[in-house]
Amino acid sequence: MKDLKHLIYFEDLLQEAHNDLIRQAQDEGLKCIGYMCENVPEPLLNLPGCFSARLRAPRTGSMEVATYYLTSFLCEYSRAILERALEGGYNFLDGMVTPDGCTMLNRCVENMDVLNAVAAEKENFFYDYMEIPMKADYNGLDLYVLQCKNHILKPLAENYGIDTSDEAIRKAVAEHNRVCELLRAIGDFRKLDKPVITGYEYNVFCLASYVAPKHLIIGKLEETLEELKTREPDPEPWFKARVLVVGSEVDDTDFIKLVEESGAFVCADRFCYGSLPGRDPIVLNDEEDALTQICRQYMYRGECPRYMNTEKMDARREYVDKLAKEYKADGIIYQQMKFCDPWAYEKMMGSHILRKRYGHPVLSVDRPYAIGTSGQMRTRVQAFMESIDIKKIQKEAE
Amino acid sequence: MAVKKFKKMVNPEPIKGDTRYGDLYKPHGKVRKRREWRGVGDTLYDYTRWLGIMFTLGKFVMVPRNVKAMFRYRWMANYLAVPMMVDRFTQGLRGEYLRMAHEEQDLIIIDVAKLLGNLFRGDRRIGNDEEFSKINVLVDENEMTAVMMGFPNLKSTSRETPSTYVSVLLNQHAAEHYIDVAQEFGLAGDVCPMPEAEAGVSIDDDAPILGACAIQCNTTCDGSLLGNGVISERLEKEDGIPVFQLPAPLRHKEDDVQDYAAEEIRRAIKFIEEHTGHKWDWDYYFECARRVNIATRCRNEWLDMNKTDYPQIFGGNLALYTETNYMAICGKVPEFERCDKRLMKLAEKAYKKRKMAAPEYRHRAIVWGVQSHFYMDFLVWLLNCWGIVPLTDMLSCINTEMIAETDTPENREQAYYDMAMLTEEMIMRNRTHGGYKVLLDDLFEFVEEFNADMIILWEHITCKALDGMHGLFEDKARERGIPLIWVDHQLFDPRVVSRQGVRDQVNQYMRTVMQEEPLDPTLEILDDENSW
Amino acid sequence: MMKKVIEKKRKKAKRRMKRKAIKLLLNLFLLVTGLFVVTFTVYFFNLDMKLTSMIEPFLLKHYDRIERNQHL
Repeated sequence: MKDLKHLIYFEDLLQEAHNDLIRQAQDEGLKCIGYMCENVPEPLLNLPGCFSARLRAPRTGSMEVATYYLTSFLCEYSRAILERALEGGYNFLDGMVTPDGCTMLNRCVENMDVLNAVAAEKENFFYDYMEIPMKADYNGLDLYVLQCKNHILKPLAENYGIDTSDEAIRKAVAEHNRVCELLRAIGDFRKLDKPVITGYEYNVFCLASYVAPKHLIIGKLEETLEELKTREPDPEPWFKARVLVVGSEVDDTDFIKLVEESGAFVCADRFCYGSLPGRDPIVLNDEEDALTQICRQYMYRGECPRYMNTEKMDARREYVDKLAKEYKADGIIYQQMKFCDPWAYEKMMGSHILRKRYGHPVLSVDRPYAIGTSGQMRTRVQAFMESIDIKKIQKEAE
Repeated sequence: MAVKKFKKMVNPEPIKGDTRYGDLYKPHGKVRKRREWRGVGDTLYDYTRWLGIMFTLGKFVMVPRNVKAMFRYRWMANYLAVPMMVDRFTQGLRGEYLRMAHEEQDLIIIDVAKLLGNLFRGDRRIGNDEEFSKINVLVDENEMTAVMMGFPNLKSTSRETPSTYVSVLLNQHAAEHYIDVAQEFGLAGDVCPMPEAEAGVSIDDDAPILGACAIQCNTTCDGSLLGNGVISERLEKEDGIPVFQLPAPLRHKEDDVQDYAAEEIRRAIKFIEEHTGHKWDWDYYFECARRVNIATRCRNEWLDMNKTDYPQIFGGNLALYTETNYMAICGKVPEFERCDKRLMKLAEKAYKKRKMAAPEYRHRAIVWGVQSHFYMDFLVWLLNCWGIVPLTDMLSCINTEMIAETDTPENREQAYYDMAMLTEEMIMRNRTHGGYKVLLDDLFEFVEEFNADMIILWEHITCKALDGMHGLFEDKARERGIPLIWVDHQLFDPRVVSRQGVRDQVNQYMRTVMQEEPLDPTLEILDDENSW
Repeated sequence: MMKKVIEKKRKKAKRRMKRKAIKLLLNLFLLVTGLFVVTFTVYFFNLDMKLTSMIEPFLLKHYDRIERNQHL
């Protein structure tokens, strides 16, 4: 297929945590608020006057210092982020909001806090820690709203004079939704039998929307959408099978690239930093305050395994099944970051239930933070593709 | 900064009887050559308590369904080792210390025997007493049973406590089979082995099935939260036992989570009422609250005593009893109140006489982190082998505040917050979560308070909450000049770090850094890999 | 005369009872001592644990043979 005009631009953006668009936005006087977890409602960090940057550690090499602080048993994501912080890689931030969601993320940020690793010279820099609900219900909603008020809106207002009114929140949601609508529309091309976008390309655009100021990428996303409407697909599909990738944090486009080089087409991305449900628009009405509506939607659509009530646990597997059908996935790759406790359990249960109850072929893998060109992973994905192929042939024969 | 020094204390009273405890071990042996000779008086005392344990066990096996359960549940085999567990925890103890240990251990044994009896009576596979099953509410092992404090006629029954928690105390290898089962089904090997083993019991179809309903809690950690999901999949969908998930906030020191926590307690109580038909009883609740306060007062006094030169209730005597009384009992069993008072009497008596539990006290240590459950008697080994007095451990540094114990309308409202607080401040959980201050900063405050000159840091290698503070612990200990001994282990799995591996970490540090010789060299290297 | 005979018989009965009581006490003492010696021997030489440690492998083999409904 013909190269997409802005792909290289977005790929370049992902090479650095402190990318050009962050620099540009800060030059415009906007404050940059860092976060690591999808349970922090993104629009609240994108109020007029500030923007969010979800932390990544691209081109991570050694993690020795972070390993000293966190030991080799914490997930590589948390270690890579801490390493980058200790190197000064996040000194561009103006604040950091983290939930006490998973222990590892929490400890990573606490280490940054105690070691004064980020933006030590910035007087108004703040760290704030939120509690987030573990069940999706009325009590969880009350908690979520209160936590957002106390640990996101309040520090933003007090430290930077950010307008946290309902009107400001609705403005942020409108901008957030525009990005989501564009990415949704771009992502829908993956549903086609002859898709005009690869999973890797989509992953690049989607990831960029997490790490760069949204108002500065809307234009290019709009152009990309127009481009895709007329892009010619390859005459024959380049892939053996369509796969849905599910699981924990994936901020490394090399992983999606590797999966696709092994014969798959990543037709849907149900992982942290992915678009499902991370790029679902937030629907607001005028009857209720925006903050409550945002929290409600984040809570009910959240796919984080720390939601522990039975309905949520069942809903996570149903959602994956629904996505697999919607995106016509032939199989599911259920991946987890090595040493991730929550996804270790969720992957075990999820893989099993999706196979036995829903009848999907599932490849269950764990992976390092930076996959590189891992031969092992490639072999596993290739073998999975072969097995799906064989199943298809057997089905046709029947 | 200069390293803190502690002036060695020598016990003016010689220890009666055996003093070379390593000589009791058989190479590759499962059990010891013989029991300890403690002098005539203490040996006879220990013997009579052993008879009492035998009586408890004998009573237990006289009930046919308990024998049936023995042949059905793999984890029941570990209960063959009950007397040996007591021997391990009482090693080297004499006089009041021996009596304290027996007061606690023997009561715990009786309580666990009752728990097992209840489990098997209601279990569909064993006793199948349906009416009895209906008055049982299943609770997790790592869960404060505060929500049961107002139900005098219901039993809070834990399946995980006897199947994994107590089993590993009895037999270091108890959980290995279940850990392997969980991993065979795809669970990663780097998660905490406690919820992993609990999940393994459920997967392996080795959990009793009973109860009107279940209350699962997210304490202690991510692992517990997620492991519950594995268990509830079977409990709810296959066994038809409705489950309520009780979330205890992680940032438990913050005011803005307490309303949430209290509301969840209300909902849990309502859930129990709905599924059992029993109503909450405020009289019973405040009676239990009074007992909780007595336990808290006693524990506070014991810890205050431990801050002096003559600590009395420490090490295993403090750790195991606190875990049981605070978490599992939570004021519901009157016998524990009587035990608290007896322990207090013994402690005061020994304190007045300036008694010591070992020939020498060479170091005063705060034991921090999560204990290696398969080697809880490590604390008594520290004392006997190196003269290190484990003044307190992290799991005993729990709630020190009184809760409302008088029945008034205001106190009834306060009670939900008190129960929430107890749940949030569950043992271990109150330190591993709640921000770094409760784990990192508080440790060094305790070092000052207890006038300690050493830290023994249990590093449960797959406890991410603890691992995540590793470097900061090191940095701060170095800044303050406090010797910090890391003791790595894998909680329930001695195949990763054996008991000797645990000991070696201390041995090496004491010899190379502290340049000391052991108090009892026979305890330095023990061939107990096959031992219970 | 009769009185003397009765008195004699009474004393004899008393002596018989006394002997019985002493015999009973002696038997009880021997029983208790015997029980003490046996139980103390078991206790001190750890025979209870040595016995149960021999039982454990058989129990474990038994558990391996039980059919289980193993699943998630």
